[in-house]
Amino acid sequence: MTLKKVLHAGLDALPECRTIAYVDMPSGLVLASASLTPVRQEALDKLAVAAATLLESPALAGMGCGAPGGARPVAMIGRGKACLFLRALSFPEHALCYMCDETALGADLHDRIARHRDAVAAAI
Amino acid sequence: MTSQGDIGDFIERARRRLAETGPERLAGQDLSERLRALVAEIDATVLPRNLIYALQDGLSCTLTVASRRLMRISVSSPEGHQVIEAEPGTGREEELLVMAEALAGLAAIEEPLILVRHALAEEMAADDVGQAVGDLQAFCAAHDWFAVPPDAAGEAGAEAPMAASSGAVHWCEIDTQGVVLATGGTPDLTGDALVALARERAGWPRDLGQLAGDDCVVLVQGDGARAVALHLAEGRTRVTVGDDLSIDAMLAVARDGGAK
Repeated sequence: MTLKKVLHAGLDALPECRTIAYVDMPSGLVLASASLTPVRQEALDKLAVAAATLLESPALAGMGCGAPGGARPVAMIGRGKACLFLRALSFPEHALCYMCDETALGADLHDRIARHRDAVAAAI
Repeated sequence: MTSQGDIGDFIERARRRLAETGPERLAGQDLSERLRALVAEIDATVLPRNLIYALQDGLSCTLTVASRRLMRISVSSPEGHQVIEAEPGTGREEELLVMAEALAGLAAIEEPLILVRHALAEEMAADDVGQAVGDLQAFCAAHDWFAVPPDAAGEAGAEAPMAASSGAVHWCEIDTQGVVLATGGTPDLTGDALVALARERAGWPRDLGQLAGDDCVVLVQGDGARAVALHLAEGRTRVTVGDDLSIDAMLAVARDGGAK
């Protein structure tokens, strides 16, 4: 399965998510994405920058929770919306980004995101 | 036009309904459960209300709540009425302590407390801000007043960590230099860690939080029960460290007071 296909499959497995992106953090490039509705490239680029900022943050790594985005996603939660960032398994400098509703957050969503990350690793 | 007969029918139906359901009472088997129930009642009250908890001997305690903030606590008895408050001139920390202790005192009453809600008859003063429910939650959690009873610990452990709502929580608010502006409890973060966070955050994209929208909180969780939340406000960051708290509880503590 191609990377793009597995991201689209992620939208089926994670109906709470509107957009999934796979990004290269050092370059800030969005390598692939899938979305329920068209998303402007500018928004995807900001997602990539946010992933790099949070997952590569030394300050967050020093907060006693381990490396950000390793075991559990780092969440950026606003009123009504949330972005979740996970470090990719096959390439640690890559990241998976999920945009969903704030109300969807919880252990069940995180477990399914972890399974999707496994599927992405298998596809690459 | 309403007749006396119609009014009489209405009152009789209300009496029958109350007889069937019984008056509303403060829920909880022990102090921590009743304290949770009190704080939850405050959390659920947006419109200005007096929440009156009554005992059977004419004693009652009134929580004046508006916009999920506890504005005032007062006690009434056949002998008179008294507002529970800190000494004049003391700071908000002392006011929070007095209110939290009063709530705990109410929760410690073991006999049933009947709850009656009334709309406020008077306007609140413009500068009367009370105590936010998040600050009350943080205070009680920091002092382990929400501690899960030993016999419920197994059930809590079987839940996914993010579903648990017990646990200690501490927070501090820092400025752009990492200087601590306010605290709630004692987060186990060194001054160097806070300075490093402030300096790093100064280099983050200014529109970082806009992806998620207003009142953005960054939440980091490890393998265990520990979680750290950063409320990204203009010129300051509220750092909240929680142990085995739900996402909702972490967000409530991280946001309430951080955006003042």
